[in-house]
Amino acid sequence: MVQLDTIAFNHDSSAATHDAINLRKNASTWLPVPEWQRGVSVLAEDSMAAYAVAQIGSNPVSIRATLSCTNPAIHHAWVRALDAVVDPPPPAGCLGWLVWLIRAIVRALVGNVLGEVRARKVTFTAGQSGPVVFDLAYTKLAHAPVGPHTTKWRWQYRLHKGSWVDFEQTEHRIFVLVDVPTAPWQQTPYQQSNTQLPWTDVLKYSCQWGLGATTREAAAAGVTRGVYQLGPGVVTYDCPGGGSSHYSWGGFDCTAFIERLQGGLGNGYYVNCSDCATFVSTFANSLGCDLWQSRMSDSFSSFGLNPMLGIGSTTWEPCCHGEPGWGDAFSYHEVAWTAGCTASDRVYDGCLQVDGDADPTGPPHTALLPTDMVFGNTGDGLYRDRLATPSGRPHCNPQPSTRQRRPVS
Amino acid sequence: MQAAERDALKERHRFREWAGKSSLPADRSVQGLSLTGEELPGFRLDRLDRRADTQPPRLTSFWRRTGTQAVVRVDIFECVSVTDAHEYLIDALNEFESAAILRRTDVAIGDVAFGSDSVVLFARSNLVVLVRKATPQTEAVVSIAQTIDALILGRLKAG
Repeated sequence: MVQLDTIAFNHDSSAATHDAINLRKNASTWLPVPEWQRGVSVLAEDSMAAYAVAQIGSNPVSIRATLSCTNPAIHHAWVRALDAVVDPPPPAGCLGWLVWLIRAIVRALVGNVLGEVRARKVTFTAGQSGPVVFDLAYTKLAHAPVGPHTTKWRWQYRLHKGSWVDFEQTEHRIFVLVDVPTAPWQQTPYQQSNTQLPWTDVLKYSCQWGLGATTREAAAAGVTRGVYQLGPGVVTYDCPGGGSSHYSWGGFDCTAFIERLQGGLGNGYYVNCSDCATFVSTFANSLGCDLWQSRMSDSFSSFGLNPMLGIGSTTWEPCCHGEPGWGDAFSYHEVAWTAGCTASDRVYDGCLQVDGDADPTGPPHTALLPTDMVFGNTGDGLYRDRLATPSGRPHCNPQPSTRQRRPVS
Repeated sequence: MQAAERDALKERHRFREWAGKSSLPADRSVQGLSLTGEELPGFRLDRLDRRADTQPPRLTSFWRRTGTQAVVRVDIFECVSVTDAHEYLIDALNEFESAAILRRTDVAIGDVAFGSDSVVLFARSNLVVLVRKATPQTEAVVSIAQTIDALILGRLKAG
């Protein structure tokens, strides 16, 4: 009788304060809105949306749906959607009251991030509702942690003084972000030709890596761990090739990187520091972090390296120690970096683990993944000292002029 | 790249010794080079990606050794002139994190070549070519670089 035709989560592309942000699937595929369409959307992955917690705050959140009614005698109906996990179809009798109480407690504790669709009266004209804005109730977006969440809604309608009748169940993949994605990601122009709109193919990984984070720092740290842990199964440091850029040369070949993450060849097994810095900053920025890719170097000298665990390696040694074409030194190194990418700013290095103990120049070694670590000056015992040998540290200088955010393709 | 950094890189790689020099007349150049998949015997062309929107335009190909999982990647950057190609070679050298990527004069590849047995970066006329391993493998890539270089030379001589 009553049927749901579409649901739009991103129904206002000019703002992210009351609805979902602007997205696309990847470089070549657009993500249509409405995100849920009858007959098209079956699995949660068929209906994806992302919310920026810092923008939503305590604002009311709404969706926009269209409905239709096959009975020409019906001109009005009340429509709502319950959390299908917390509120499955109820048992009858006294047990029903107990179940209701338990559900209320469960909803308060673990209900889906979007909560429920608040009931409202829908008017049908010639069997069509047209676009109808529904407010959401019991949303948890104000304090939700980063992650891919699933929302299952049990849609119901009620005619005048009747009881609620189930008529549809929908599933949605909801990505929760700390804030609106930052560059290279864009929110405008919201059009198919803009490949820099955030990709859901990226959010699938960044939300998993940043799972549970409620701050930019925690989200960036999670992404850094996620990238580093790709070694040695998915990627490894390019010792044979002299540490050349495989994914970040002339821009970020994010399509190839995702292909690699999904088990394909991508641009191959090897990565270097520029690649890792680009992975970390681009994926962290998709969660609303604010990182850059920036280099450290000295124009006139390479800098010697302390023992480390390069991505994909389980041996403590200067990167690519003993490999032809290497000399226990970097000509430059690149990391994900905050703010102005200076010595007082913080680095996130998904390419290597440094020695985190009092003496980073020799054994014993204490593995430490640099996340939210100040770059520092020589003698500070911070990132610079842990990466470079005492004689290399004066040649391991921040190069903020190299600060960039490579566009994605 | 900042000017000072560029100058230092040129100094390190003795740019003056090879800049602007080509074995063929400077007015010869290769434009719109394409690959059919037949160029590397013993390899199958897995993927070919032409990027006209990059600067310089780039032709990237992935070649799988027949009967193995070993893949070699070949990037061909199409510059406007020999001079531009040699300037771009400096940009390319700036993409290597190793401090020990050195010029190779022991093998006949290109007008100028750098690298090792596992990676070869060379310039031939207006083109810059990077041949490297995309997956682990023991075989060197020098012979592949030489084959690509011969292909380019053939195109140049054919005019």
